[in-house]
Amino acid sequence: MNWTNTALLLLAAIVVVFLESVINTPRRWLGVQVDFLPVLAIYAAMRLNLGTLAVLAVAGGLAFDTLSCNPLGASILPLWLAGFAGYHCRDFVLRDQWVAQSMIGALACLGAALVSLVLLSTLNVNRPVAIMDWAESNPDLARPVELNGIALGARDAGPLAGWGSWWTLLVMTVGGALAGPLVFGLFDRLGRLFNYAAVTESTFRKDREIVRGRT
Amino acid sequence: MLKRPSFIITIVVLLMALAMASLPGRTTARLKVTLGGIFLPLFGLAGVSHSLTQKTADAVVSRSTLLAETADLRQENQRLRILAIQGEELLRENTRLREFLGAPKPAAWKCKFARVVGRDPANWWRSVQIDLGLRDGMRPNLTVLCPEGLVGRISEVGSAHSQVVLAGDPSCRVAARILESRENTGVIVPNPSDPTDNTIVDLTFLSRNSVLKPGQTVLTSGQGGVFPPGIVIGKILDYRMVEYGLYAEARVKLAVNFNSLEEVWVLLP
Repeated sequence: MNWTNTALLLLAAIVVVFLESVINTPRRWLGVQVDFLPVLAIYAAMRLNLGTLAVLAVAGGLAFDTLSCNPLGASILPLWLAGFAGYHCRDFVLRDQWVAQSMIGALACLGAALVSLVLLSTLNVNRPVAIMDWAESNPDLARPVELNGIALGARDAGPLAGWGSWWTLLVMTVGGALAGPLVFGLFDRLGRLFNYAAVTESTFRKDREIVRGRT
Repeated sequence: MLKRPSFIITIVVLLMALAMASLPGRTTARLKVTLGGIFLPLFGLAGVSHSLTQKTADAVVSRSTLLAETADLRQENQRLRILAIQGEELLRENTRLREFLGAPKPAAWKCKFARVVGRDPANWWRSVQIDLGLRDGMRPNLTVLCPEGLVGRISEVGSAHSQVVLAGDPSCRVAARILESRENTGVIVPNPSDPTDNTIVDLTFLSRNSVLKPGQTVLTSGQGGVFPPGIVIGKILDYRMVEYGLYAEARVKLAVNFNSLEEVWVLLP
């Protein structure tokens, strides 16, 4: 294992999460933000080892949850599962072909999104937030009441999911399919740039050389 | 069958995920704030590049455009001054009437300007990050609004950034009323049919005897203790009876377009 690959991948994960948060164009056009972390996880699974995949799943998942409303740690498992499934199939996948890279990118994004949705729906915890009492400063304007039995301002509901989520999943899958070959191409190139090329062993041995002519 | 190393790594990752999920809410919030520190240099870089782009764009704006804009702003300023004079007179009258009734004086709104620096990378929630934090006096549950209407409330506060959950997020429920009929109160909840459309929400738990019409304005009611009353939320699109006519529900088009939201105001108590 080469540490530069791991470091590059982790750095990329942080930058990808940041860009997903800052760049609003896909959401403005399609109503959906594409997540590229599963594609990075699948790259780690296909080209590197399980240790790197685990570090990426934990660091990338935590970074993602930090900038989102997800409960902390909720994105670790989807990333790990997407990468782990890829790792166990990597000997059967033509991972140097762009079509295969595209397919596994799409499947990783779809799988991670589905697992994430299921996890968020089941992890849905009722976490009441300390309600600021507006009435303290404006006694006549507001009365702190529990309206219709619902604690207003409390996190008591699951993620935004409905029929429109099929569109979300479709866009994420297509995004993964497009990102797959790009991520593989970019990181393979970066790997060649920062690492020494593997020495190819020659079958020629000096001590077995037959020297013609008189000695 | 799993080999030993992969089995061990799987167990470690699972344990980490489980440990994170079982942490108490306060610890999770603190951990999020701490981890959010790794993004501070990136947010700073983005802020600098944004201001540089803005400066470059400002430098190439023609003088005639700037003059036209100044003239428009001057007119707008004069119009607002006249409205302010009228408003002050109404306020004086309101205060006098309140004194007659013995009602306490309403506190004036104190607002702080903030810039939207990021959005929720997950598709399952609606939230944004603003560039005000603990050092600017931010704290959870402060109301966030813009000139068009209600934006949401602050959910988590970091040292330099805060997270704002937007109206229509599952964790941001707003007690609302209809402007045209004061007794019609309900709660703003996400619209489950299309979660990708962040301009539509539901106004639910309305009385079945409510007089509802498309185009009616929906405001915050002030109940619930989080949002002050009178902030515009949106307009009613349509309505229906639910739970066999037990109560009514209306679809509301939000006044604020969250996709183009760049600047907001935080209401300080």
